[in-house]
Amino acid sequence: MTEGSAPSLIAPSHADTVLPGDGAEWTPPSWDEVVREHADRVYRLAYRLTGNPHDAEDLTQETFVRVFRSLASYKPGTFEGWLHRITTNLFLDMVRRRSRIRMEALPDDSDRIPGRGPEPEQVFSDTHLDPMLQAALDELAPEFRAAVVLCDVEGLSYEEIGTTLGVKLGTVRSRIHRGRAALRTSLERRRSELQALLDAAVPEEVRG
Amino acid sequence: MNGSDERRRFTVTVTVPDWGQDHLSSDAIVAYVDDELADRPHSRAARHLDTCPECVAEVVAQGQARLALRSAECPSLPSALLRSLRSIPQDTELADPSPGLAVTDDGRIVTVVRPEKLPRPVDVPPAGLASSDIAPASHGRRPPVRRLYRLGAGAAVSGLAIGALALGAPGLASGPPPSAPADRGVFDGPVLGGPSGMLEARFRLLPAARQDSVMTRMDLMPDSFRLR
Repeated sequence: MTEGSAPSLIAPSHADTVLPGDGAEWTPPSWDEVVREHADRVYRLAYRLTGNPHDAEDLTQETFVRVFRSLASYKPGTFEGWLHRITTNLFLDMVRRRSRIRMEALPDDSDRIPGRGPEPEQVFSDTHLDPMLQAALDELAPEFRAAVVLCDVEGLSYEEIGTTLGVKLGTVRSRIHRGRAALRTSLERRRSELQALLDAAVPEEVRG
Repeated sequence: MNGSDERRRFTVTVTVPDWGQDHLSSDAIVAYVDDELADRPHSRAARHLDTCPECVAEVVAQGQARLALRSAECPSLPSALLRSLRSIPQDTELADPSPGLAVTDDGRIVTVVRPEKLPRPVDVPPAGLASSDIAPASHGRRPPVRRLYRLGAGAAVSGLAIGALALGAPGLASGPPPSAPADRGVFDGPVLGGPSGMLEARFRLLPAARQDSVMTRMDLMPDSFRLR
């Protein structure tokens, strides 16, 4: 029943079941080449989406496991888009699953109320990234974060983002616009908070 | 970015007020910033921005957020993760067998081509169709070659470089499949492919219709990616 089954889970829809080999001139890469060429960008995307090294590593690993298992549905020329799509969809799945778990486990959960991201100190200790930027990014709803990250970290076109997220162009525009606006507002708030913190020199008094 | 000094005077709203014909829509603003407007709309937007400080402020605000992300430093890939990624072929079972994909005893991922079962190109369905449509000739059969899809334990590939990665291809029908030796060398080996009964059971757990469920697939992930 699974005979001939191409794992088509997240492969690009236009390449799902196109049997590879159409381009006879294409030389298949070795797995090592696949990893070397794409691991950095997948990890970067995973990092920006998840906001911490631990989840980014898990997401990257999972993405490549998925790639390995789905190689048969890969068509030359779509690899990067394919990777974006796998990574992003796995991330969104992860978020949905966690939010469901959190809602079941912590009915009065309040640590993710908009406006209160991860503590800057924690982010700082986790990473050498600009902690305010990542914290502001983490505040965005996952769908908005994904659109903004795909646009501004990965440099994808609106059309590519629409394909990756499975939404229309208008939705892409709207999510990027609103996501950036919220990101900027959050950054400004954090900067002024930090400034107030420095002015007051009382570390505990960050406005909560 | 000449409006950067003034940006604090403008609050960025999520829903754009009624711009009417006097201002650019939020869609136009964001597309202008990302250079996603066609030539003529772009020119119109540019002309409008010449005379509209409010829209300029919107453009600047979008551009600032964009620049903040684009110029941000990103972490580099941890070397332990890189090692882990490179060893995926040794550590990963193909939970759902990839058609025509196998690993030879020298560690190469190759195509498995069974000439009598080659799918006809015209049978290639659009995306998302059950893959059984691809190779109707082999429907319901379970040739021994299937056992090779189990890449478990990794013994056959451990320590070996992964070589050329060839994928199941109709085009290979005319030539000698590179995997032909593998069909013999690996399938008969004790390492790959457990008892066929077990494999059958496993395949049944993964009907094609359910492969679309990411959740289902997530449960099949190795422990290293259990969601916490």
